[in-house]
Amino acid sequence: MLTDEQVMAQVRDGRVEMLALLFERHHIHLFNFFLRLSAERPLSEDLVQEVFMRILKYRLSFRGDSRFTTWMFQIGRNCFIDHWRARRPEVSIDDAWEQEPSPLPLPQDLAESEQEADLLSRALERLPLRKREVLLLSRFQGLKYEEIAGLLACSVQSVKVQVHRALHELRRHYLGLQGGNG
Amino acid sequence: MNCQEARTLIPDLLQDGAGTAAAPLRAHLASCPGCWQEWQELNETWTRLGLMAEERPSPELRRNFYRELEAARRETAAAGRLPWSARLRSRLPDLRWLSPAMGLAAAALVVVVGFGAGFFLGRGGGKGPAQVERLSREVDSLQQQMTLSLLNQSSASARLQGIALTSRVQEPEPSLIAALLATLDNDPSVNVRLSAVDALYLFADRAEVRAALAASLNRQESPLVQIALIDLLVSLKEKQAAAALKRLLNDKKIRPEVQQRAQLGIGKII
Repeated sequence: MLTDEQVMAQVRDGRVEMLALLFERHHIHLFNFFLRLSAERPLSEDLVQEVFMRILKYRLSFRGDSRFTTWMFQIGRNCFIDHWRARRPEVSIDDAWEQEPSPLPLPQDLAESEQEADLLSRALERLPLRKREVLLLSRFQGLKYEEIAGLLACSVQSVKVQVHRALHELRRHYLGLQGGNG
Repeated sequence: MNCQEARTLIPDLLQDGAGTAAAPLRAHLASCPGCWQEWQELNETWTRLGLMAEERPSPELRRNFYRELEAARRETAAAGRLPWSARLRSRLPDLRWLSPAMGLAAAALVVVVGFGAGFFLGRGGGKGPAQVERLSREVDSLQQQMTLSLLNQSSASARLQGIALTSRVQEPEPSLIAALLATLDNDPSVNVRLSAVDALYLFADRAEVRAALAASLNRQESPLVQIALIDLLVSLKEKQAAAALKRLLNDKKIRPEVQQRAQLGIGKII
């Protein structure tokens, strides 16, 4: 099977139809990354589309010296940040990234449903974007801490500290929701 | 190892086992109730996260993507082809994929082609484009010969390298397609057969390739290859595959996950 990097090299060299292979391999992961970051389905689909269009547009800049997925998530982050800036130009992206989101009201029947996935998903939504992002990249997308450090332009140690803190905070929110204190 | 060092390493233990630090870290965790509790709590949350199911986007996303991709493909074609040098480069084998011996052979090929190009272009004057086109066809042909040679090697990695080369072939000769189909049906390595499925995708605009892929589904025994073929045939909406998919559904020896994929596939191609 061709690796992602081999396929992307062909896209770069002009066989743009090969992008279909990369789309089929990654669009669901990317969609879930945006969905868990934004909690908005239509927006997440638009962002996935935007990422693949940017991959096409900037295909000549793919050098193949890092994993394709790392490059794709770099583009994904840029798309998300651009979207955020367009939507809330008055808030600096750094502030937005660290801000505690205001909790969405819980549906009445959630406490009774005891659906773990729902609780965890809501607990995740209560993390600031920065912490949510490191968990999504490290846990769901399988990126190594070194790769995430490259993406976020910070040290590997800093990524590990953020993962550690994010897990603690996620657990706190999760237990709070589970006990009906959310 | 003290508590602070241990807690710093917990994220490593969660993601990839912490490497050489794993043994002292585990020893510390076993002897320190505070760190043990910390580890338990974080590990439980990490595990819960891993159990969250992925959600599916709407079918609209795929439709939009393929519409845009088709538009981009047409635009690329209309904008003219790449410069000669880039076209030629994209057709030459990527030597990083090859074993040292095959790499040497490929390097020799590149040198021969390079001399050929210099010779043609040196005396060609205004006839450059046509000659580069001809040279490019020759490279294509040589590349296919090299692929055929690699597919006959006893080493599975050599055969994989051969299949990787096919992705750069523009105009496959019948012998190359026949060799890929024979590899798909008969190669003893599942990985090689899976790669053959991927490689044949690139030539699936040919009716004879689609028919052969559908027929091959009847002969495959590996669930991985069966699933790869089902996915490919369904993505091509190949109606000839319906009979093979139904056979899989009725065969009790077929694994349930393959039958499930076949069931979903039938709905999409009929």
